[in-house]
Order: sequence, then structure tokens, then C-alpha cells
Amino acid sequence: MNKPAITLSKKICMLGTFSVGKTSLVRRFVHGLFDDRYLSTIGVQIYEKQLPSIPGRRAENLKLICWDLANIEKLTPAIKNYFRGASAAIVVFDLTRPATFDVKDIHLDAFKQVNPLAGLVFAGNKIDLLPDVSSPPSELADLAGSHSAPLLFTSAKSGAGVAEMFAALGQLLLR
Amino acid sequence: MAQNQSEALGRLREIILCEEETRVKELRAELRRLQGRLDDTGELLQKLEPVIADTLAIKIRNSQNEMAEVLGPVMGPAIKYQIQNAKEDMVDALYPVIGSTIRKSVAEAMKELVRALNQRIDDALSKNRFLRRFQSTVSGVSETDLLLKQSLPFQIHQLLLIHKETGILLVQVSGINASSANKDLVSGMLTAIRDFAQTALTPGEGRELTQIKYEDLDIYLDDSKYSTLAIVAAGQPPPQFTESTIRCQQKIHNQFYKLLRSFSGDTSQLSSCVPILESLYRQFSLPESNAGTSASKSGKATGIIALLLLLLLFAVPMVLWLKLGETPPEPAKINHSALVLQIRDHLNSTLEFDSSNLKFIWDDDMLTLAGEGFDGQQRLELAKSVAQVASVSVIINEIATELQPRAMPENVRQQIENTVIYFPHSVTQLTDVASSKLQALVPLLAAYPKQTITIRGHSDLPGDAQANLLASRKRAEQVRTTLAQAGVELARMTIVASGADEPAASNDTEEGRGKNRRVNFKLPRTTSFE
Repeated sequence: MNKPAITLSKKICMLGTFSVGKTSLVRRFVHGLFDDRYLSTIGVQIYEKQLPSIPGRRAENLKLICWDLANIEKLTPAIKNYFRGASAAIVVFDLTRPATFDVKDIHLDAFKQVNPLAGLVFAGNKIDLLPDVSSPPSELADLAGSHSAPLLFTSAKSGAGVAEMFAALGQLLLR
Repeated sequence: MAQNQSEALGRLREIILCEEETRVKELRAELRRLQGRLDDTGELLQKLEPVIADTLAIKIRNSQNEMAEVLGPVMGPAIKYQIQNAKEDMVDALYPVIGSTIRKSVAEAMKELVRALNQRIDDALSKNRFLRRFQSTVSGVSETDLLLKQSLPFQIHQLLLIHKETGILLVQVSGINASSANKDLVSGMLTAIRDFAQTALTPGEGRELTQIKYEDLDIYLDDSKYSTLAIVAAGQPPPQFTESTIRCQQKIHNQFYKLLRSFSGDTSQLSSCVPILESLYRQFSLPESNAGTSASKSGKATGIIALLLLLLLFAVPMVLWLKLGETPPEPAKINHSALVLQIRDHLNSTLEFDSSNLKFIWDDDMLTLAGEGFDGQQRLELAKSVAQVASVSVIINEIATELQPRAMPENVRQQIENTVIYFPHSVTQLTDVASSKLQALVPLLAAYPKQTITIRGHSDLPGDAQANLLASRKRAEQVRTTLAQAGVELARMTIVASGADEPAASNDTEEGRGKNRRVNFKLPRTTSFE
């Protein structure tokens, strides 16, 4: 007799500096919204999305609880608390603004200190705005490599690469 | 001559303009007087008041919507200002309206309470009274409290057991009237709000958010070490509510702390918590309406027999319940550092291998063993030896063995990085030789599943830079697709298109160009944060 499918619930954090497109990316992926007001009030907005099943995996269903964090540039105790218990983070960069590539600004080291075993996925967002989509900044690839994180290029505007990015995250979480 | 003419003209002007000059002087004086009156705001308002009032009255009568649109934005601030500066006046003005509304609400609530009390008192001689007395005797709660509890409509609507660290919903119990909102989001938001309040309102004081009010609903938050119990309820909680909640949390902690501590997202493992929560839910849910009121006349005898049976049925579990419900004695505090020294001494004297990589992670009286570089046998021996000397209640063995993912050795890394996939001129598809080379990499990559890989595509010269870039990207993509089809996870692979910018050989010869149309691999080393 087949064992019933296991659903794993995983908390993930969306990291990235101001206006890189964190919220747009997650909203593109998740259609059921909560309420935008929470983000400005307590600095976090939560989304839930069930990933498509991955047959043959230990757990066939994966439920992502995405914590979309605002004002992350200022590492407050509240932000540190919001990091707690995350299994992974999606680190979002704006491909059109190399200034957003500095992971110090988003306190990636603090996130890793709180969650040493958490996986990372790097997302180069706004690829639709690049004049040449086939040559994304190589320094971002090197940065992703140095953190052992897969790098995917996305456009929250057109939807390109968004599902693939979350699929990569799913693979990472079920590894 | 000329002087006489000038005097004559002066006199003539005086004669002609005398009256006008006087008038001008008078007008100037009048203008100054009017200016003065305009500057006197008090007088001006006094003069304009009747006019404004009349104008407004006409305007409001003729175009109400327009006036509402104009005045709407200032109404809020005006009322706020008035409340700040003339609170008493505002209260006096609003009292006839608000006073009667409150009176009506209170009267309705009292009426409902009296109706409920009357109904309970009417039941006083029914079997419910005997049952209540019995409950009172067994539980130690006075009969009056029980009666009040039954009269006030306190009711739990929902119970959410939330993993404290992640905010993930573990278990929920709710009635049919419970909100249909996404409970996962609710539990996450409650956790975020609790964290926010803890750090933003009372930083460093260790205070906790225990209650959130939302109109007639209250959300009670009770934290234990690993979980938060959120109870959505309406009404005045009875005295034993807090105690019951704590007892419920204790039960959950005692039975499930191992699962809660090592929670990895599988909520189905905690489904056994449901009966505990249901028990709390039933304790504070409203009784079925008028259940049992249709008992037959011969119900007296039946009631007494039922009462005796109930006594038998309840007595044994109640004793057990009281025993189980007792708070476990506080374990003696362990001196962790002293114990670790003792354990290390013991390991050094009993084991034949180096155990210095062993790490000790404490959580009260629970000890987790961690570390790398041991084989399966050593892992078992370590745990066994530690157990011989460590006087702790729980030891969790999380020592990583060679079976677990490990870092890629340098020789394997070199082998992969030295592999180059070449492509014929103007071709982005893999040749048979290239496919064989790639297949040889698959087992190496599979053996080290944590290792990520950067696939770099290149092209030769000459040619349009844009076309070269595209060709290099397609070659890298082709390699990634082939590896993914062979089982290498997509998430591990990153592609980079370099175009003709990184030649491996001269582009002046065909041989050199052939070496440049290639894909090679880079294996980043993991950055450690620990």
C-alpha cells in the first residue's frame, strides 16, 4: 500500500535591499495575498504557496511560508527575530543596479548566523530591463558561487524565471 | 510777469479743485478707517457671522453633496482638535447620542445574562444541578462559578498550535463557525506580531505578548519552550481557563518535546496533539443547546443510575488525570562546562580515536552530539561513551558520518575543473565525445550533492560579439540541460556566458579557435559562516 504523501512546511525569507523586487517576485509566484498593510506596519508580510509535487522525493508536497521582510537594511532585533527558523532564503538583486549586489547591506551573514544550515538561492531580478539578457553581470555569478548558491535570472514583470527559481528553491529544501 | 501768471494759476487751481481735494482727503480717511476695521478680526467676524451662516444655510440647502465633499476632509481633524481642547464640551454634546447607545447595549447584555441565569436557575432542580454539584465537588470549583460559567457565553472558537521558532502552524482545532482565513498565514502573522511586540515595545525586558483583542474576540497566546498556543475566544474567560491552558501546553510539551525540538516541517508527526487540544476546546465550548431537556418522566431513576455510572466512569480517570496533570518536578540544574570536561576526559581515556571534533550542544537537560569526520562505528562508540558519563535525560546523536554529504576532495574538484567540452565551428549541440565526457562527470557530482557548479560557455573569434555571446550561452545551457537530464539538480548549476572574452588559445589558427569553442567548469568553495 502506498504511503500517504508527506507535506513539508518550510519557512523561507525574502532578502534584498530596497526596491530590488522581492515583494513583486513573491507576489508573482503566489496569487493568494494577505494584506499589504502588514508590511508597512510591522515590517513583514507573509505569503503561503504550495509547490507543485515532486514525485519520487522524500516529501512529495512542499508548502512554502514566505516571509517578505521590509527595511532590512537596518538590522533591528525584530528583523533578527524574523530570520529565526528559516530553512532557506531567496536573496534578490536588481540586475540594473550593481549597488544592490552588496550582501552586507542585507545582513546575509546575520541570517546565516541565525540559520547556519539554511539554503540560499540568488535571484537576479529585472532581467527584462537589461539591454542584453544573455550577458548578466558575471560578478553576481561569482558572488552566488562563493555562497554555494544557485543563481537564477528573473523578471517579476514578465514572470520569466520566477517559477524556475522557486522550483530550484524546492529542490534545495528537499535535498 | 511770469511770477504773476504762476500765482494766478495757483489761485485758479485752488478755486477749481478745492472741493475735490477735500473729498479726496475724506476718502483717504474713510479708507484708513475701513482698513482698520478689516484688520480687526473680531469685528470683521462679528459683521460676517450672520452673512456666513445665511450663505452656508442656503448653500447646504441647495447643494448638499458639494458641501459634504468640501467639508468632509476637515471634519476628522476638527473633531480631533475639539476633543483635545474641549473634551468636556464634546462629551456633553455627544452624551445624548452615545449615552443612549451604551445604555442600550448594556441593557441588552444584562437582559441576555439575566435570561441565561434564569434558565439555569429554572434547571436548578433538574439533573443538571446534581451534575453541577458533582462537578463542583470533584473539581473544587464552586457551584456558583460553574453556574456563572454556564451563563456567560465564553467560548473557544479556534485553537492553533504554532511552532514557536518558525511560526508554522502545527495543528489546529476549530468549530464550525471559525473563520475560513488561511491558518498558515494567521499563525505566521501572530508569530511576527509577537516578535515585533517583544522587540519593539519592550526590548530586553523579556516580556511576552499574551493577549490580542479584536472587537469581541480575544486571542490568547501561551508560549512554551517550542510552541505557542493561540486561542481565539469570545466572552469572559472563567477562572480555570488560564490553568487549563497551561496544563494543555505542559501536556503537549511533555509528550512531544522531542518532535517539536527537531521539527523539520512535517506537521503530520504532530497530529497526535489534536486530542489534547480538542479536550481543551470541549472544556470551553458552549454546551449543546438544551441537550437532554427532552428526558422522559421516568428519567429520575435513570438519572440516578446514570449519575452512579458517571461517578464510576469519572472517578478512575479523574485520579489518573490529576496524577498526570501534576507539574513534573524541576530537574536539578546541570553544570554544562564541568560535565563536558568530564565527558572529554572519559572519551580520551576510553576511545582509541581522536574525538576532538565532537561538539556538544546543550538545551537544558538535553544534549545533542554533533561533529564531522567520524565513521559509522565511531559515531556509535562516541554516543555510547558519552551516555556512560553524562547524567542527562536525553542524548541526541547528530554526528555526521561519511555517509552524509561531505565536502568535495581536491582531486575530484581538479578532475571536474580540468574537463573541457569542445564544440565544432558554429555548433552549440554536443558531440558524442562531449556527451561521454559529461556522463563521466555525473557520478562525481552525484557523490557530493552539496557542491554547486558554475558552467562557463565560451566562443571563438571572429564574429559578431553579440552572436558570440549568444553561442557561448547556448553551449553552457546545452551542458546544463544534459547534466540535469542525467540527474544533477538544476538548483546546483549556474551558467555564465563569456562570449569570446576568455580565450584559451589564439584565435589566429583553426586549432586555437577549436580550443576556444568550449564549456568549462568552476566549483566554488563553500563560504563558512560558522
